[in-house]
Amino acid sequence: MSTLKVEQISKSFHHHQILNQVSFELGASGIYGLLGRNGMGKSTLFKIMTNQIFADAGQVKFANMDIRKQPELAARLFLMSETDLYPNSMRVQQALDWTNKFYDHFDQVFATKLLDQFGLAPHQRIGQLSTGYRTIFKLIVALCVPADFIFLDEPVLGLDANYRDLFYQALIESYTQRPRTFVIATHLIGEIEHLIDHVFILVHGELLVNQSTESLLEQSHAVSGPAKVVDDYTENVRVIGSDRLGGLKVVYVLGDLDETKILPDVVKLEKVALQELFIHLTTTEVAVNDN
Amino acid sequence: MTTRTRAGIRYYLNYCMKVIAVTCLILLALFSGIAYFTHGWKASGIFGTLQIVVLILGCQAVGGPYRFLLQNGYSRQQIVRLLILGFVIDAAFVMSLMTIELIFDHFMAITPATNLALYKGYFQHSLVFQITIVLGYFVETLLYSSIGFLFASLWVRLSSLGKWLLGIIIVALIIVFNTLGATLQPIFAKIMQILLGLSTTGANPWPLFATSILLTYLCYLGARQLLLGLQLRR
Repeated sequence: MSTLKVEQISKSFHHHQILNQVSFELGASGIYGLLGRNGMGKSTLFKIMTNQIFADAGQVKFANMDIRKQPELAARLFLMSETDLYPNSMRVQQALDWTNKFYDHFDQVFATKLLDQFGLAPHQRIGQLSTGYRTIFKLIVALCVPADFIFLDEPVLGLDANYRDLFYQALIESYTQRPRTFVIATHLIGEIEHLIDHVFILVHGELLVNQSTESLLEQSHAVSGPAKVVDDYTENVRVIGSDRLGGLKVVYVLGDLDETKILPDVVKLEKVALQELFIHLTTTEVAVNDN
Repeated sequence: MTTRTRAGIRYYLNYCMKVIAVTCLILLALFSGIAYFTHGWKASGIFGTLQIVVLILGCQAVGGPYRFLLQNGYSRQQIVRLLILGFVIDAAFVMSLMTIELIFDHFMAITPATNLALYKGYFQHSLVFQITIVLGYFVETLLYSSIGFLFASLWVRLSSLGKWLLGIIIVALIIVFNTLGATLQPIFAKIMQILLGLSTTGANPWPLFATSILLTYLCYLGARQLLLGLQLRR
């Protein structure tokens, strides 16, 4: 299987720069997280990568071929978009049947199983589905299409905790059965932290983080304790944020700690959760890139 | 032919058939209504109106499937190629309506209102005239369909505001033509004379055919460019 390369993609809308020379590469299999605050260009990037909108500059290459110039490649990329591209009058089962006709190895059995698990009635019209069920319908299609790269834009939008959990299980099941590349853009970072192998963080149209989840989390530390002691201990290291409660302080560090300093007894050292790291990174905007 | 191509064609044909079925129902209702209220059975005029309705409704077949096909991995180039099929279907549909109109006119003893009747004097042999009539209908049909195709492509590209503006412009044009009809008539008569080949040397269908084919090609090119540039909103 081939990789998907995003090369120097830029895009602006109404003179507002959404993406600015974004470059990265997706491997042949893996689960990636594309994180960013609202309006940072995640959906735009997905649409450019699946040829639904055009970049102002740069290109997306699949197997070293420009996807805009090779129409047949579009079939190997699938976007579960926030935007509804299905006709409202179409019934759920009809949509699945049509998708089955478009893809040679659409997993109809898995689709039926998921319909049953999520309690989605096949005879319902797509236009009559609630936000949550519309998401569920799109998720079922996305998990069953035999595309090599699947982009999930807000895959849990409107889903309750139970359905979200069910989706994560279905995703793992699908991935285990047929390893391929999933890229998930979501704001529920805590919930996907254990799922994703690699993290991309977009800030103001630029790629701030492009790193494996494990190495990113290994490099992050929460140093807590009395403010003065914590400040002394974290002097000369890369601090990305801090919280203060009375005389106590928590300092978030990204990168190596100063090994020449001995950790004081009153200071506690902990790992930082991805969501917390994301909040501090997107506030301070420290450039991190392991490439 | 790949699975995807087959599926695309099937989906598109299915969509077109639905649009045509709905259009037929609307036309039937409209036709019956007009005929009932007018008692005039001026079939030519009615069918002329119906053809316009067909154009507008038939061309919905452009916008509807575009998004679904894009969702299912069709590239723009593939979609545009598929839409040419719709262009042909629409042409066939309009042509069948025109044929019905001819038959209807014949049985109702109404002189065909079509411009092509004007060329009767141009041809000495009636068979050549008949062939020219058929050819003329074919060319006119292509032109109607391509205008529909262009209109539909423009429609799917426009924003909500743009659609409203276009609607207002069309209504304004209708009002202008109705109000200033007498003033504009000589100008349009002159243009039509040139387009239809009604020169001083006598009626000649070939300029009409040439103009229609040229306009058809331009409309098709315009529609193609509009659709290739179509992208989903942010």
